[in-house]
Formats: sequence, C-alpha cells, structure tokens
Amino acid sequence: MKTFQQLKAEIEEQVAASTVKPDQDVLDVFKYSISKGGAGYPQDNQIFTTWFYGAPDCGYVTDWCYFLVELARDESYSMEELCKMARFWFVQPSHFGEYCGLYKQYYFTKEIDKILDTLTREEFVQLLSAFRAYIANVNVWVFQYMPWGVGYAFMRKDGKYFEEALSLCN
Amino acid sequence: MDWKALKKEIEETAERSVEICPEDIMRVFEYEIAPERCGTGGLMLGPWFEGATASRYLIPYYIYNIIKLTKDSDLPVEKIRQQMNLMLPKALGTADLSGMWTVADLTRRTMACVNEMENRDEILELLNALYLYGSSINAWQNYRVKWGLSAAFMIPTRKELVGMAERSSESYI
Amino acid sequence: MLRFKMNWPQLGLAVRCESCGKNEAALKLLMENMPLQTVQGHEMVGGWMIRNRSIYMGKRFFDIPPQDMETESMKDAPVGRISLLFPQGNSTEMLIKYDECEDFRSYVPVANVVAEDLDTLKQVGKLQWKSATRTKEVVIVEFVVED
Repeated sequence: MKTFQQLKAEIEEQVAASTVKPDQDVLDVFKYSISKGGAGYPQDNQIFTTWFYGAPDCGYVTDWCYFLVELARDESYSMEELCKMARFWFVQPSHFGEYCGLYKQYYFTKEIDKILDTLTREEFVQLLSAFRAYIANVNVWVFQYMPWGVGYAFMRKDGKYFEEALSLCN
Repeated sequence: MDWKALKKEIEETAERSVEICPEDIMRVFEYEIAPERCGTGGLMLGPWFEGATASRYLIPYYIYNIIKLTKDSDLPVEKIRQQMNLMLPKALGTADLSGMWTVADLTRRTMACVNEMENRDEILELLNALYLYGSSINAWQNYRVKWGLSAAFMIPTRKELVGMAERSSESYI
Repeated sequence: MLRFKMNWPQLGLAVRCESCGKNEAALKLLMENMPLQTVQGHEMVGGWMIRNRSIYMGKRFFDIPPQDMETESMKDAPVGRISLLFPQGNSTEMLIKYDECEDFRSYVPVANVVAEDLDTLKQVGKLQWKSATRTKEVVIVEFVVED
C-alpha cells in the first residue's frame, strides 16, 4: 500500500506528463480507436459508443472530486462519511472508464481507495485535488481527439429548413 | 410551491414518457432542432454529447446518489439541500442549453420546492418521482442518438494494426 | 492593475489581459501559479468561446470558497471576458468569450482581453475551431504574468 505522499507524487507526475503531451490511454482509445478492454466490440465492433459513454463518465469524475472537496470544507461531515461518499460517487464511473480503455485513471482510483480510510481531512482534499487535475487532463485530450467535425453532417435545423423540405415532398 | 402538485406533474410527465418519446428528445436528437446558437457553429454533435451526458448525470446519477446517501447515511434535510444545490446547477445548465427543457424545468422547480420543504420523507418522495422521470429520459436519449454514426468508427483488430504499421512507410506524410 | 498575457506559440499570436475588477483574489491566486501551459480547446455547446479544460495550479492551492466569488453568465459578459469554472485546489477550467454566445451557465469572471487585442483573440478562436473540427492540430497556450 502506498503512502499518501507517494500516491500524491505519482499522480502529480502523471499530471505533469499529460499537460501538453497526450495521455497514452486517450491516444489509444480516441486517436487510434483501439478497444483495450473490449468495449464496443459486442456492439458491432465500433468505438463510437465507447467515446459517447465512457469518456464523459470519466470526465465527470472531475466534478465528483470537486463536490467531495467542497463538502470536506464542512466539518459536520466526518471523514468516515466523506470516504463513504467518495466510494459511492466516483469508483463506479472510474471503473467504467477502465472498461473503456482509460486504465491509468482507474489504477489511481484503486490506489486512492486502498488508503482512503487512513487520510486526514487535509490529505483527502490534497489527494482528490491532484486526482481531479489528472482526470481534467484526460478530459482535455478526449475533447482534443473527439471528431467534432462529424457534427457538420448534423447541422442545427429550423422551421425554414423543414418548410422547404416539406415543399419538396409534394 | 405545492410539492404534491409538482410531484403529480412529474409523475404524469414520466408516465407519458414511458411509451411516447418526449418532445425535447424528438426535437434535439431526431430532428436536430435547437435554440439558435446552441451547438457551437450549428453543429449538433456537441449538444448530443454534452446534453445527453448532463441529463444522465443530473437526474439518474446525482439525484439517485442523493436518495441513496439519504437512506444509507440518514442524511438530514439541510444536507440533502446542500448536496442538491452543490451538485445539480452545472449539469442542469448544460442540459437546458442543449434543449432538454422539460428536464431542466422540472429539476429547477424541484430544487426550489426542496429548498422550502422540511419533511425528509416528503423530499424523498419528490426526488424519487424526478428520478423515475429522469431515468426515462436517459432511456429515450439512448434510443434516439444516431448510433448509425458508429459504422464510421470501427475498431481495428491487432492484425490490422500490425498490417498498418508494416505499411507505414508507404504513407505520403 | 493585475495583468497577464496569453500566448499561442504555434499560431504566432498573443493577447494582453487585465483584471475585470471582479474576483481579484481569484485572479491573484491564478496568477501566482503562472507561468502556465495547457492545451487550447473550444466550447462545443454554448457558442464562440475558447475553453481550457484543465489549468493545473501546482504552485498555489486555490482555496477560495465558491460562495465568496461573484458569478455571471457568458451570455451577459462582454466579448473578451475570461472566466473560471469550478476553480478549486489544483485545477480550474477557463472560458474566454471571443464572439456571441448564449451560454447562461454560471462562471467566475476574473479578467478581460484588452480591447486592442480582441481581433487577435477572435483570430485565435477561429483557428482553434478549425483545429477542433478539422485539423486536430494540438494548440498550446501559455499564460505569463505581465509587469
């Protein structure tokens, strides 16, 4: 089991490595369309559903961490309660992210889970903040590689568009 | 605000949405209609991706987790409110901006109601009604997303990746 | 007056920014973390805003409670407004409005791009949009404190 200092340093190292250079997991899944954990394979062997569901679930882990750190400011929550909420809130989406091929973030989740009950309030805040920063970087690269240009095939439509279309149906 | 009237409205809306696809879903996901400037540059992939996610988080995940924690940890009313007011606004704004107006409206009114309510069991009843409605919305979004797009993004096999790597020197760039 | 610069080396473009008079304590904390680098992204729903989804504040922990910061929507903000989303601990998101947008979500305004540099900002926005939707070229942005 890692100490708080060791784990925080390891996460921060990964934050530094993924700030201006792509996160390897995101490269694999989003740029190269590789299904590492099998996600999308049963759904006709495509990666789009993994992008649509897996990436945002992982991205929202940043918000779960944000909420937990905000609630940690409130001393009426015991550390036991905060640890329980952390386990309720971000372990599942992080695990799903792993199925979608985002391995590193789930590795950190498992390591956080192992030492969660030993943390002081301040350490809880520091560790989740560091983890949030890493997930935020993952999210950056997800948005970088998501093929947003596909949206040009699905442009917003208005009444005029449909009126014209209707006139061509006659 | 009358929480019972709101609960009834939510339940009726949820009931309708069991068999009939809600208007918001048809408008945004099926017919690609959105308020002006929603979807940067007029591209609907953004509202689909972010709007569906925000709606899924707003109710099926956030409300679910508040209900779960309230029951599991005997959360008092003030903490239900605290968590609701902390967790919901960002996802609520994104869902609203993405054209999920009924989801946003019912959630906004539920929040206003809960902020005035004192009885925990009644709050749970109201939140649970919203949860059931939100779950239905989540199901319809999943049904209406244009998954046909998936055919453009196939997963390469190991053999294909090796084959591509072996041919890499043939690439013009 | 608190001043900093945003620089996009690959694009050969830079803009000068200064405090907007709101949330100066938050801006100060952000600036204590500069120089900073991150990937330049774009908003995909709310309109013409560039968006930095991860700004790492590794030097100075951001500890201002949200209730102590003023918020505003980007819809109501002037073009050039620089706002933060969920600043806390080691990280924050940042949005910069470079043209019209309807985004009514709440953000924490901290600065403005100076009026003389708004055309440059718009140019950056359009180039980043091209990257997000077509070329996928990675664009890095640097934040540097100005004296």
